[in-house]
Amino acid sequence: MSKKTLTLMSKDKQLFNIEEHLAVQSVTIRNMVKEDGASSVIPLPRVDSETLALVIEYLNRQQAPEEDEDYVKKFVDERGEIPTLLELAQAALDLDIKKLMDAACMKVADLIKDFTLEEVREALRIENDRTPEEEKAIRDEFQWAF
Amino acid sequence: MPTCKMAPTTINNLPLDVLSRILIRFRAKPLARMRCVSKPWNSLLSQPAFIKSHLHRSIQNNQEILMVFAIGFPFDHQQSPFTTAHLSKFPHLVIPNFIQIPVVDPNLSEWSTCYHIHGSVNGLICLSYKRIDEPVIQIWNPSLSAMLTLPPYANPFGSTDKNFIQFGFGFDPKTDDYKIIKFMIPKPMIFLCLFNGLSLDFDDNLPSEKIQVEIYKSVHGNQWFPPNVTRIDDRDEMAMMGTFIGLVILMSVGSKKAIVAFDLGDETFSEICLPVDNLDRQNTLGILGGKLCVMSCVEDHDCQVWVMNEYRVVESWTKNHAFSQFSFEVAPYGFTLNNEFLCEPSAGYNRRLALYDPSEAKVKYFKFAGRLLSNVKVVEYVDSLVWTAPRGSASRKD
Repeated sequence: MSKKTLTLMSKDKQLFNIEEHLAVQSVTIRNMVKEDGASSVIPLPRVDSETLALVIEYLNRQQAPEEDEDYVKKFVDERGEIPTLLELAQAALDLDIKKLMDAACMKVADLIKDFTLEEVREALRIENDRTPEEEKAIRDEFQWAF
Repeated sequence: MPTCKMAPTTINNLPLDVLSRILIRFRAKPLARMRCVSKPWNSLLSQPAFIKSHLHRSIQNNQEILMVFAIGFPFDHQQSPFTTAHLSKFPHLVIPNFIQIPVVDPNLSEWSTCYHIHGSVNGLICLSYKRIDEPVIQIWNPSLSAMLTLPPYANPFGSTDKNFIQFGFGFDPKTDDYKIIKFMIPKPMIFLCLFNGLSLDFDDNLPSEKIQVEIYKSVHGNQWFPPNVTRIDDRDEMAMMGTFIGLVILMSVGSKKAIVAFDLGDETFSEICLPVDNLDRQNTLGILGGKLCVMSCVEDHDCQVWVMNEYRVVESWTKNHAFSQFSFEVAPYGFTLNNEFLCEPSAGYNRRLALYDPSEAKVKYFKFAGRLLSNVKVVEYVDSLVWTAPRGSASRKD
């Protein structure tokens, strides 16, 4: 008997095939399969094709359980770019793949933990929404943290 | 066909749920700094739900650090030998420069000050020092190096030197509020206790305000609130501790010892019978695995630990341990979050502080620069964002 295959569709309408028994590591997909059999295409409107390709690579891994921790860590380490990791963390959260999400969040936290405020804003593309006066006021209040 | 239905709340394109999962891994101090990144970051990091999850995580992943404070340690000698920090795994090593008490009073060094630690909960520590006659009470978060000085309180008995004052510090989960309870007993009454001897029977004709109780609530304004209770009767020495469950005080009630529990929510007192009502036993209150426990010792003999499985239900007292393996007298301090037994085994004048791991039956001794000179207070370090910013501060205006 051939293994059942699912088709996932990314935000930009690309299709990816994956064996069902591997896909159901994602709790979200598992629930969808349970609900209605998920025979046709599963749309993932918030995950772009690049990120979905990574997620599929992760789900297709063939690791012994005792090596899995190291594999996940290495997997995110090799994708050390913050924007990629954020996309991956978001996809892993939506798809409810806990190990991957934890590893991606941990990696981002490691990367930015020693950044200055400006570096954090730059790395995560955050706009400083305070006026110089407001910025000074809040920095004064938290001056013990600097 | 269902689709992924999570509607993201985004902060400048960065989803809030991912961001909170990243930031929760940070230690408290850099997180406080991150509040300055942007207004949405500030609002995320000051959310009570985020602060609670961060606290919960840091208690679970705690690389346990114990801070040892000599009782009445002088302000200008904050470091060893008066205050030291130790990893509970290796208590014989001192973590250098770990404890830094922020100076909030520039005049402080002019007074000969002694610090007293009154209790700790959720990473906050309540301490006080004396300025002239009046104690100044502070709440300190060592992980944020933040210090809050409380406003002075009414002292109807005059100079505090004539009175006996005890503070309790606790957290009320119902109102999400930190409370300090002050008990003040006029000194003449303490003499009376001594004259009455062991029975400690008080004369009912004594004025009813003989013990004054005041409550300070951290969140609901910066002042001492008058409590719903104004008296407790017939009590002597108070061993008090702040816990998740309430404040408990060990005191004499008539001719026997009992636990008096103060409910931090409704601010009422109730009495809990001890598991062993035996005047020969020296009882100390503590918390074991989040539950109230009594460490009950007999001189030169065993030390029993009783746990109250259901708070305030006397029938639920259960004997948990009996330590009889120490060949010397043991003064119990309590249990750490990792359920290790903290105690002072004393052999003659050689006072030492020790951690005993009941699961491995192993004793670890603390090492200090010198000998353990005075009585100490041991406080668990918990990395915590818990803080109450003063009203009108910049962080609240965002």
